[in-house]
Amino acid sequence: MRSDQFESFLKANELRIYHYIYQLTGNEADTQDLVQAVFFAFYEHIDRIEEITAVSYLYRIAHNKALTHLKNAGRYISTDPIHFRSLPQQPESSAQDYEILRLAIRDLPVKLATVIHLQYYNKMTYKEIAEQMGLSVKAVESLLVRAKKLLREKILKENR
Amino acid sequence: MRCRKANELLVPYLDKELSGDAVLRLEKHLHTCVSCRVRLSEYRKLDTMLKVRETIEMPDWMRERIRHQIRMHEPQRLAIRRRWNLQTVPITLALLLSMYIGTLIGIKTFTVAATEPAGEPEIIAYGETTIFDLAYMNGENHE
Repeated sequence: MRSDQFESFLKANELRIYHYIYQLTGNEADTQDLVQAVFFAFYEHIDRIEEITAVSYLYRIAHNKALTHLKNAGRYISTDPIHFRSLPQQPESSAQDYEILRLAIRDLPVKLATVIHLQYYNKMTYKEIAEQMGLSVKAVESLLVRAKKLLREKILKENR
Repeated sequence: MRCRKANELLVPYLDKELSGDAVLRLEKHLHTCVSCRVRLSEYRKLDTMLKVRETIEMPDWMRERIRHQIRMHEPQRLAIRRRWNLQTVPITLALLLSMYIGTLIGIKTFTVAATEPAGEPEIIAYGETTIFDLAYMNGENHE
């Protein structure tokens, strides 16, 4: 990837990465610091990044940086008070369910967490996710099936 | 359709990514299988929860801060890249030279070993052959 492509890449990905990191950390101040660090790390290696896998690579940096940050901070479970207020009221699911889901997403392997985020945050179809990640549609389907199976099992286990 | 196959299709079914034929077969199975219907309802609930998007927005000043950080770092990044490029030339030359010298040493060593004239017979084992070789070396003829 050329360095002059960074500006358009940043524009296309800044919001989704911001949301992704916030989803993992649940803390806005941490998210702001981490988003900067993620794009900085991406730009440092921009010459060696293939355009087709750039989005996957960016998500991997974001995921690793967020988890390392949480581990180092010694507060793996930490959320802003605003976090639950930002959720619309859902009669079927409690705030606890959302917290379980958030932690379950955090525990997913990065590739599975990425496809889930692209599907729900960006409302992408399997084909669009495949194009973004440089994968086949079948591979995306398989990743989503695995991801949702893990999330479903985790929610069921925690609610037992 | 078996439950195992049906379970694999539930996610693409809810995502409306399943072909018409597969949808018909799955719906036929769901009509008769209670456990798969329960599983479908669990996936549906998960889907509803995942669709809830947190209303979090990235502050505008962050964009400028990222760009500023990148701009400030650019000369340093280019310097590192230049230095790295300059370092690759001597490293490549050193590698090529060591490969060349290694090949030369190899050729010399193995060529000498192969062309060495066959002098006295070598004793390579004990037993009958050894006795024969010692006799041969002493100039005795057993023929």
